[in-house]
Amino acid sequence: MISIDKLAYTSELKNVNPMEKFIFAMVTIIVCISLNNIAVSIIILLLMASITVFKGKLPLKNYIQLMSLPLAFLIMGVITIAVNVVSTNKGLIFSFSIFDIRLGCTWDSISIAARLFLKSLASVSCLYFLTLTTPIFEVLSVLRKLKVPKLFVELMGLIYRFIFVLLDTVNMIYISQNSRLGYSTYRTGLSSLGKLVTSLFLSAYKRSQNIYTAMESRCYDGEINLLENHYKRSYKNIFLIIVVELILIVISFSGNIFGGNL
Amino acid sequence: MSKYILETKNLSYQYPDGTKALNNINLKIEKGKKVSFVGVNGSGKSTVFLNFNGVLKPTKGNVIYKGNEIKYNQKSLLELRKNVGIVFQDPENQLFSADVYQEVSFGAMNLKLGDTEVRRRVDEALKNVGMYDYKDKAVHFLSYGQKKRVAIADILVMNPEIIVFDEPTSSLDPQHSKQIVKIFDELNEKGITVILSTHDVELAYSWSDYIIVMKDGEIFREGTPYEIFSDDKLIHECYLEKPLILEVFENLRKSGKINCDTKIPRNKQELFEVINSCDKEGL
Repeated sequence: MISIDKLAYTSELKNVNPMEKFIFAMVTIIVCISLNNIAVSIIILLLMASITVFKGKLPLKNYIQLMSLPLAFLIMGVITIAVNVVSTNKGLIFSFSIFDIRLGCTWDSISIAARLFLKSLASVSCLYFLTLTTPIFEVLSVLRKLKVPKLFVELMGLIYRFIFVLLDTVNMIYISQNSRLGYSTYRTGLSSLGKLVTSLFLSAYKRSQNIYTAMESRCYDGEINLLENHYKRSYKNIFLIIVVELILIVISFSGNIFGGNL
Repeated sequence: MSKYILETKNLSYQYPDGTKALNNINLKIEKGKKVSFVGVNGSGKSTVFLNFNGVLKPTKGNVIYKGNEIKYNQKSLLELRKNVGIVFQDPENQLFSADVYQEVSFGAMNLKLGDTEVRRRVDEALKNVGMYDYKDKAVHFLSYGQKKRVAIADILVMNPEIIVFDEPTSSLDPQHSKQIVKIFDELNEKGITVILSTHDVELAYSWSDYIIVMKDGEIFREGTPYEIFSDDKLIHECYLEKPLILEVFENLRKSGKINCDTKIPRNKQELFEVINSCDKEGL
């Protein structure tokens, strides 16, 4: 979480118009999901990865690490789709029986699983493109422009800021408990953890009051108005986005290129 | 117009839970001065500050800004808060936005200024505290001292006439403390009245024009730094300490090593000058 945030701030693409990045990521996700095509998914995955890594100058190692995060979930989910209850031997690759139930894997189920796997991974790469190149407050300004309810955006901003404060506080309480042997045994550990949560809640409550006071003394009138960064609209980028999406759509409809209807 | 920019008259404040925090405070603060509040923890310094800015409403008595009594309606509160800014002790309690630039813009945006004016003020405020290079950074990547400076820029952006600092040098290293005090002096040179609370007697003694000593929610004494810190009884009663420079000076004077009529040194430099000039006389 923290590392993603840090990477976004150091990305070379940080200063690109966030609205363009947002649209690019979102449209590509929609295209990817609705076309449900293996070739398109692979292209999107490679495209997003190379933009994030090469254009954004993100270390490849970090990107692979981040990509492997959802991989565990994906593989688990995909296996359950690939391996199914089977009744016939048609197209069967392998099968085994548990009690009376016969489980197996067919070419069809493998194809569905592969399609799903790549589609998910490609969608994740789209989201990573956005989060790894755009600091969160710029995503918020995009949401504000898209007329998402103000309260919602304000809350997102505040929550985001105070996650870090909360983590700092947790860390401090934890160290102070640990230095007094608060986690020496399993039992005391549980009890310390409970106390940590309680005092965290109290300090969060107290801090929220302090923040409110500080905001009030700066003429807060119930609405958080902040200065937005202005970005030049890049017609070149918009043109490129349209071209990329069109190419993806064309590829999926000319299915014959990649050996039939995948 | 009176020469006092901020006054309080018989101000008392009681917290909703019944704690009497302030009792009959009468203060007159001159425009363009450097004023320090000293006193032990819990003596009511922060509560006075919150009353200055209208965040707390006095239970009794009133606050007077530029000769006008504060009425606690929206308009007069806005006017007061625009002109009296508070920099809170813990910047973590003040900075609510994740982005430095947006954070600083908050106060100016609340004054309903135009976009270009806000931008100009934010740039200027960040330059004044030496944080302009960090304008695109996230708040949570800054160090404590840097956050403190952003918290000051937060207030500068509103162009206040008075800035109140609640224990500005606490938990800062000597280097950052010096930078912060330099910022105070620069602000003061621009005509801004600077008020601060501190436990650092050396700072209070060498920096202030005027010192207010608080004890148990009351003003115990007020006066020039020398008047306050040459009074041993007062120092003892209010749990203060004598500034080292003054102590050395008084000792030298008592033992006859320097003349009685020399200027009283306010800082290290002045003390050395006094000592050196006496040496020459002695030879």
